[in-house]
Amino acid sequence: MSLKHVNAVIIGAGAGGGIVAKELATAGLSLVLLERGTWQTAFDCRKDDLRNQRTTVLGNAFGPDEERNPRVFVGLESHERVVKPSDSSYNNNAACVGGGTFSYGAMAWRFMEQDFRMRSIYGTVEGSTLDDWPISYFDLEPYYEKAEWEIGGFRRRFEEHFSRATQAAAAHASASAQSRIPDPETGRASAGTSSF
Amino acid sequence: MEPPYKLSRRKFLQAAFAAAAASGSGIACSRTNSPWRFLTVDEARTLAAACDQIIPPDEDPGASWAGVVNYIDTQLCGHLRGLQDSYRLGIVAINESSRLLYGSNFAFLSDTKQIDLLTKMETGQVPREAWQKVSSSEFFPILVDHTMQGFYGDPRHGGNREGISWKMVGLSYPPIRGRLKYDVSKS
Repeated sequence: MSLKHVNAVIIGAGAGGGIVAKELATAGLSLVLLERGTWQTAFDCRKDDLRNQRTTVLGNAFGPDEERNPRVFVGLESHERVVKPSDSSYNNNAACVGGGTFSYGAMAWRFMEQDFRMRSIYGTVEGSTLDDWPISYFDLEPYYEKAEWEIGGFRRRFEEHFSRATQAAAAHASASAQSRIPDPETGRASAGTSSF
Repeated sequence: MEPPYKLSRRKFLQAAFAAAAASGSGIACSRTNSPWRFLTVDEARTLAAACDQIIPPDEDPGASWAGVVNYIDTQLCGHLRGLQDSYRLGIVAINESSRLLYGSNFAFLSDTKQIDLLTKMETGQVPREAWQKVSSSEFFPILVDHTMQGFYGDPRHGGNREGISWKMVGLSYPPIRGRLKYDVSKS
């Protein structure tokens, strides 16, 4: 069997792979997106106190498969042991189409301006790797903006959130903004989720 | 410098294969002589009696009515299959202790004696000869944990029949979902 030639093969359909796939596809490239986990739906995201994103009493709700994906955990004393995905030291996030973004609670925080200049603010800390980013918040800001439009979140400034006057204005602005976001399943405009 | 204990590739593979083998061990998960998946009828009876002392029926149903035994039985053939031996040996040890101390199996003891034996298990005061293969002070907390999971967890895992514990504490049943446009009647 000969495989179809494509322009790109993307390994992993999580937050990174999914975005790359979307950008390449809308630019007209053909591609294959590979994901080891299952295709879950919104129906799979439901209340379950024994099996959810953070509680793994009965395994991981969003993958990976318990038996075939061991990791090696190395403790402070360099002791090594094999752990299963439901073990807390596995530090599991998710393994499914959509990756962690499928079950992350829809909170996508921006870094603050200061986060990009930690060394300038705090100075050199001996023995640490503390450093400034090579870019500033304002270099990244347009991409934050784009990502938030894509995932249906939006940003309100911290101080606006606690100011009634500006909050009302922001609510009005966001309501009109949201009317431009169609629901991917129904095609209807739906409410976005505020990350603040 | 070599770390004090280095996991070799061989050791890793051994551990990984052992985990995989345990998952497909096929230990009696489709019994023909018992209505349960893993448990025998007698084991289930012992377990029901023990779980009913951990969450006893009062004005609300207790653990066994709520299907805690079904939860444990289901999960011993599922995510908790690694504990099959603990349960098999633990239940044997409970009954052996019961016969040594009171002359009959656990399920037939009075409430007072059942509670007395469970208390001895918790505090490690059980007859040593009955607990050679499994530790009572390790088995007891497992039993308590799984009883609570089966009683309070989602009914889809085999326990909490009719969402009884949720009704008891005043939670809505079925649970309110964030987006009601999806069909909640499917399990």
